[in-house]
Amino acid sequence: MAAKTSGLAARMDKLYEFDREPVSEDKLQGGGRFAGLFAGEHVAATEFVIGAFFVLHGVTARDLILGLLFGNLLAVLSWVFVCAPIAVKTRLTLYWYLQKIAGPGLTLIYNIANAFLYCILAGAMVSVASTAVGLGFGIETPQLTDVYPNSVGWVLTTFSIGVAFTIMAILGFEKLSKFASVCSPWIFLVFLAGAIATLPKLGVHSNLDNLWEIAQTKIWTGVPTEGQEKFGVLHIMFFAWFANLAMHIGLSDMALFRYAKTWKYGWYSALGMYGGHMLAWLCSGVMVAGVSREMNPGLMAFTAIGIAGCFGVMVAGWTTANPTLYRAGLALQSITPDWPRWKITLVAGLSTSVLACFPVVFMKLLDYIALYGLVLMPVGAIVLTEHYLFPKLGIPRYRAERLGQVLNWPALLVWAGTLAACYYMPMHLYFRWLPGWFIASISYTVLMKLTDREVSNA
Amino acid sequence: MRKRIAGSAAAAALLTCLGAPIAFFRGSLDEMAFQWLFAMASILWFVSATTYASTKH
Repeated sequence: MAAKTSGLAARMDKLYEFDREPVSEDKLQGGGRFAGLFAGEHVAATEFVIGAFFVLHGVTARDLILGLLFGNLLAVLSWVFVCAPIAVKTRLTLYWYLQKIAGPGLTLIYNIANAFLYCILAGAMVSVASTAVGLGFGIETPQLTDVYPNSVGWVLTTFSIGVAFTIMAILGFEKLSKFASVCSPWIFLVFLAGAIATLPKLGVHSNLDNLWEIAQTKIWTGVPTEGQEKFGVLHIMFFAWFANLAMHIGLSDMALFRYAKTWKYGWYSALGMYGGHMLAWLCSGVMVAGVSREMNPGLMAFTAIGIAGCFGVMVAGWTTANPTLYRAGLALQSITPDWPRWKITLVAGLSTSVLACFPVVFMKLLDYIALYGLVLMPVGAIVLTEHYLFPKLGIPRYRAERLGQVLNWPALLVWAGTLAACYYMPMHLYFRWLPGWFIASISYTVLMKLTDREVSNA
Repeated sequence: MRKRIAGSAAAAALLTCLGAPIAFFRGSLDEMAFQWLFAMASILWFVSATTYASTKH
């Protein structure tokens, strides 16, 4: 038995994928792989919730369209000109590059925060998938205001789905992207079919002559559901931009783009932003209007396209939870270098499964996504500033690596200070990250310049 | 040959998944028929797309 277990562990250890070394030339991936990954990852179960929440938040049809067009463009540009070039230049994950800049101490803190946030995000995806499975078993879906699980059935269903997702995440990057490539075109059609099939129920004529009128009067009416805050064009624009803030401005997607042959692969993110986010959010908005604004992704999809819709919600949760858990595993691996990735992903996956049982992780999804990007954003600002600005200003790079420091104190101070400043900013949560990014970049440059002479003398 | 057949079947399945709701929207199919057709085309998609992805030639 022991020999069998150690044999299994040894086979799993072979899944190691150059996580700690720069990616070698022969491991680089073609553009098609990135197209599949972006398309799969950004047409996800959470899109069912996000698009529906826009309706509940009373956004108007015009504000929604304009906000999504500009916000998604900003997100794509952030991948193309911020994240992809650094990843291609260094061929490292953010975690290992950050160690050179800020030392293993800060990486440790960052990775714990990052892994925890990833687990909550994956948990939201598991919860959404659970609403679809629960529908088949007659399990009551939690309400908008629920924080804790409302039934044993909900907990059992959600935890089982979480475990299944974890097993998939352990299988690794290549299998994940293959899986996403197979699923993503079909998931895209689940959203599209769901919206098209809901339109006649809302009164849209087959020649579409009253489509815009129905969109304004029955879907994005401009009237928020009771207890929900009213959203305008700026809320939508900033949301679309920061929905993946940790990945582009926060540089987490260095883990993916280090495999890219060129930084121009960043443009593939447009597939995820427009073909994924924008279209899926519009479609889920239509679907939630078809179920009288009831926040239940499983019910929305089932009402629109039947049993295939429920399956679609499940698969959509799967394709996004997988890379998220994979990233959580990568984040934690640098903390426990002796552990193989499968073991640490298992720990992350089980934690996710427990978190997913709490409905608050998807009922407050929009606020959570804003916080998630905000918390990790200062680290992206620090790395970007050091990578591009320091050589131009004559400030030596990689202080922690050069001096063998465990912790680059200016970096930690800037991170904590930026978050403190954002906390007190007198503006909506969605807008705080942008001034916060400038605060982080400027204060890090100033602090490093000021301490440079002392460090050199020492 | 096997890859080509799988690829063609996958493309046909996707087109059916798109065509079925459009037919329902235009009134050419009733709701039950649309949902059944979508489900069948979905099964065909998963079988053929998986076969396509796992076949080398």
